[in-house]
Amino acid sequence: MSSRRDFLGTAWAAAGVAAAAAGTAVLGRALSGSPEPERGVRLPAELLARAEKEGGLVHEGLHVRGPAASPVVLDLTCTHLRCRVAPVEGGGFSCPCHASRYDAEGRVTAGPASRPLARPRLSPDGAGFVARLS
Amino acid sequence: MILGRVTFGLLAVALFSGLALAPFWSAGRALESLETLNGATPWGFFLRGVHAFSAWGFLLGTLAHLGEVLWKRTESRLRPAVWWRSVALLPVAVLALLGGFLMRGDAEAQAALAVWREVSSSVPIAGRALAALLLGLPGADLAPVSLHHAGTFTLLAWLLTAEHGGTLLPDLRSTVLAALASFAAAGLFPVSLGPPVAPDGALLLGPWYLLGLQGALLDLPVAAGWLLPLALLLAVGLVRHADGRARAALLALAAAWGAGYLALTLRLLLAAR
Amino acid sequence: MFRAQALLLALLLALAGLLGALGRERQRAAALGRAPDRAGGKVERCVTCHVRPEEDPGGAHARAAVGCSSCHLGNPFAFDKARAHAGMEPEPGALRSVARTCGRSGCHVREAARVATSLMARASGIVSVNRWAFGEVSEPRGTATMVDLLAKEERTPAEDHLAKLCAGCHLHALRASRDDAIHGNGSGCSACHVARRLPGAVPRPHPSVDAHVTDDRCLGCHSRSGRIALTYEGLYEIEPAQAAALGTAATTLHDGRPAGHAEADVHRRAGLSCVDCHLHTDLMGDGTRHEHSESQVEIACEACHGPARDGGETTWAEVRDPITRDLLRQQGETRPPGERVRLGRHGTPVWNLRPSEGGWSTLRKRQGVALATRPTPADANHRLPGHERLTCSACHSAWAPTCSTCHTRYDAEGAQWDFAKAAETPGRWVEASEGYDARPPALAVRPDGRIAPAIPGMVMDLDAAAGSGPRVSRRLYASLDPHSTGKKARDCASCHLSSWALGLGTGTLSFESGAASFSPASPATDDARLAVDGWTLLDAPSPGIGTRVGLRSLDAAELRRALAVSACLPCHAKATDLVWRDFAGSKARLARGGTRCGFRSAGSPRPSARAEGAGLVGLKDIR
Repeated sequence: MSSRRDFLGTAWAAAGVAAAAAGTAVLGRALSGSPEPERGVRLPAELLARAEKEGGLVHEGLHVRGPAASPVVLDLTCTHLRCRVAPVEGGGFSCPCHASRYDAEGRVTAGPASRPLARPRLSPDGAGFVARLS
Repeated sequence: MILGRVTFGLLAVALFSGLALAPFWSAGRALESLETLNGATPWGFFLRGVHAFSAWGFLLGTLAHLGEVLWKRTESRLRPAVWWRSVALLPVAVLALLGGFLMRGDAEAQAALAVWREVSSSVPIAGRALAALLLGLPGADLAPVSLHHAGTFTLLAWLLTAEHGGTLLPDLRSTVLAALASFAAAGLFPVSLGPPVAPDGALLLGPWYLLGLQGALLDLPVAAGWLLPLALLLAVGLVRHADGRARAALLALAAAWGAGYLALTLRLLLAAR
Repeated sequence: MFRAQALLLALLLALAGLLGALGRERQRAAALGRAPDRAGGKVERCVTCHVRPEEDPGGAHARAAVGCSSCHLGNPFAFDKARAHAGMEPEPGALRSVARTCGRSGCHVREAARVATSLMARASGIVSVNRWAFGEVSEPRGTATMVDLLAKEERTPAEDHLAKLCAGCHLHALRASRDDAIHGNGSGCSACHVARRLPGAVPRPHPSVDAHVTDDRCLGCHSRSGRIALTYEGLYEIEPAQAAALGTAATTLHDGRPAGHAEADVHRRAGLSCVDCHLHTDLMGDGTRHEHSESQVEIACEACHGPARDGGETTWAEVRDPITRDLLRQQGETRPPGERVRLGRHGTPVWNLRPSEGGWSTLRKRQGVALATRPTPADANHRLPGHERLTCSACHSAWAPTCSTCHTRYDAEGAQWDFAKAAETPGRWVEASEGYDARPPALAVRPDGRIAPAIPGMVMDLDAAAGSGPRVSRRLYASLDPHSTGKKARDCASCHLSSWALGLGTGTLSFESGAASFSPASPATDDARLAVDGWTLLDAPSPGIGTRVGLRSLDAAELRRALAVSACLPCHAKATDLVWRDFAGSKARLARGGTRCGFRSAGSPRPSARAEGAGLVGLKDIR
């Protein structure tokens, strides 16, 4: 009797684990397929010209500078824990959450971040570019 | 166990004050709605203060009651499953409070949201799903956070507290005492909000009970955000199954954890100055 | 379970809390409803308290349109003063926060970013020239800025000199750390775009913030050094002793310095203000980090008066410059795509210059008055052989402020305002001169080979020995556009017969035995042949140097050529005189005896014995 009860208990538990796994898998699929992953930011030629002349500007969470024909675009999301970093005087960027610091090229100079600021892929778009973040 | 009862009372006060606050909060204009509550709503600041202090009191009471239990070695009165669920009350309470912090929508809350999304995502396999479940998809407003704050975690906290205390509702006297204490604190110490945007170059601080973790993340990898709390929970949870030296060792571990946490908090505060 | 004492204590505490809350609630309620809490379509609770009319800048930046927080930051959602004012910028426009104030998204992003690169902010020219004059660097050039310098803990003597005498006029210097140069305008954008506030004016309302940059806003800074803003007004700074001698003919500037009167610039007399000529890139920069002002300034006489340089004219269809487009929109002006437009040296359109019947007309921006702009005549004066290298201002600058000698001394015992520290710090720089003067400028050869006006820039003794610095003596002239343009050019003699104009200094030029000689009125201590205010010698092996790499005085050959005509000028004083049409031919004619000349002395050109008795020939015969 008791062995039968044990068996049934184990079976219920196994079925429960299987159901939870299936549910999680479905949820995982739903979440991974949700329409977030890629964000495209338009960088029209006028903005690029401005960025070139002004030595860099912040636009939609991106830092844009350099020659309008081949701009240098950095994603201002800290590579540590994704807080928004801010340009600091004298070039470079700093993060308000855990004090990571980056130089003007986006390379880490201090703090817990280990990867440089992301550089979005640029694809031509009319006279400007579209920056894509994945 | 008066402390435990008053803690349950504080949870009740937090729940009711939270209910009272719900009509004033808006997921899309979180900070603005709270500023309006604080500044333009009669007794709004007081309501918010009662909610904040009762919730903080609940967290502190839970911690203190845990210390009391461990000190008096009364954990064995609970069945192991109930003990583990009672230990789970601790992270549930923190998550409920964190939700409230995120719902402020100021610069500190925005930064905390980004950080916790990453911390959750760093859990193996289920991380990204967990982050999306608890905090909503990136780019969403604060509605998912508020649902879990007022719903999931409050419900869980209530259930776990009720099971732990063996009573569905807190007793009247504890609740009244909790309410009076919350009124006193809310009236005497106004609760502020953070800045709308991060000031240049300065560090933004998370909620006070998580400053140690923020300090830890200055150096440790992001997984420390959930591994460190998990380590504490395991140490505390296993106390129920240990005796003699093993129990003392687990308690020493938990105490060391607490001391380290305070040190990290202090360190962050010094770094932020 | 709970004792009655616990309940009593809790009740008492709660009562105290409720009383505290009641007080706070009363305060909160009392602060509400005084005024609206929205401005420009957004929540802006600042306007709830800041209701007085004198707190409104009006215009495009009116409180009702942009609120307060757009410029002053802080927290516009907050209800209590402490939270509302946390993080406020008392000095909007200051370059430290300009990206979040004037330069915020949706406002003046481009302009704010440019200003930081402009020379008004960086002052790299002043920094490099001063360091060079002190002997600290080998060339008067470099990209080090005033910002770098002020941030330094340890300063060289030149840097200390700059921090104490010059840094008040650069756009990073905060209002609190500045002297009277800007009269409380504020720094950064506000230095020019905020109406000047006179000290002691009570009450002090919120100044208007606008694009009507009136000349008085320029005057605070540009009345120093080259003093072009004073010159433009027809004023020149003098020493108090000179003012006493002038008596009622002297005047006092806004900051108490005495000044004398001279003729104002012809453009000033026509009612043009600084910004009627100077383009936005001249003032706010074009995003390029120029080293010296002459490379940043785009406007040139030719842009308006012609003839336009190659590529200096286009049509509006070709104009891309977004700031000019914005300016036009602001002014409510349009330009047909086919309309011609003249451009500054780097291609920025001179939008207030428009084609008109038979030429161009210039718009006085503020008043909207159009003035006919005379083109440069193609007459003998402007085609005079040998004068191809002259800039317009070489002849048309009537005068320039001249401080011939300057003694700069470091007084280690004294104390002086320090713009880096925003406080008085030990050590004082004391300047002394023998007085200022307003006289026609001397001539210099610019690095590009053109001849332009110059004034003694740093003919000075520098005694920084007490401050562990150098003791140097400098004889540097500086090229400048004095802004004393006259319709009538200076006459031939004012250059060819003037030892001052030729860079020799004050003294007597004489022509004896066929050669020019010069005797200084006041010889320099180091060289008796040289005038104390001179720049070069008639036969100097190398020309005098100036405050730019390649800027120099006329060299010996150029001086010889300039003096070669001196003997003819008393009779042939006009450019239309045919003797100048082919001067070499005239001389040959004279040598052959084909012409008559009354010139008897042995000056240059040396008349031959035959020329002495020769009959006067019609000048038109000399071809």
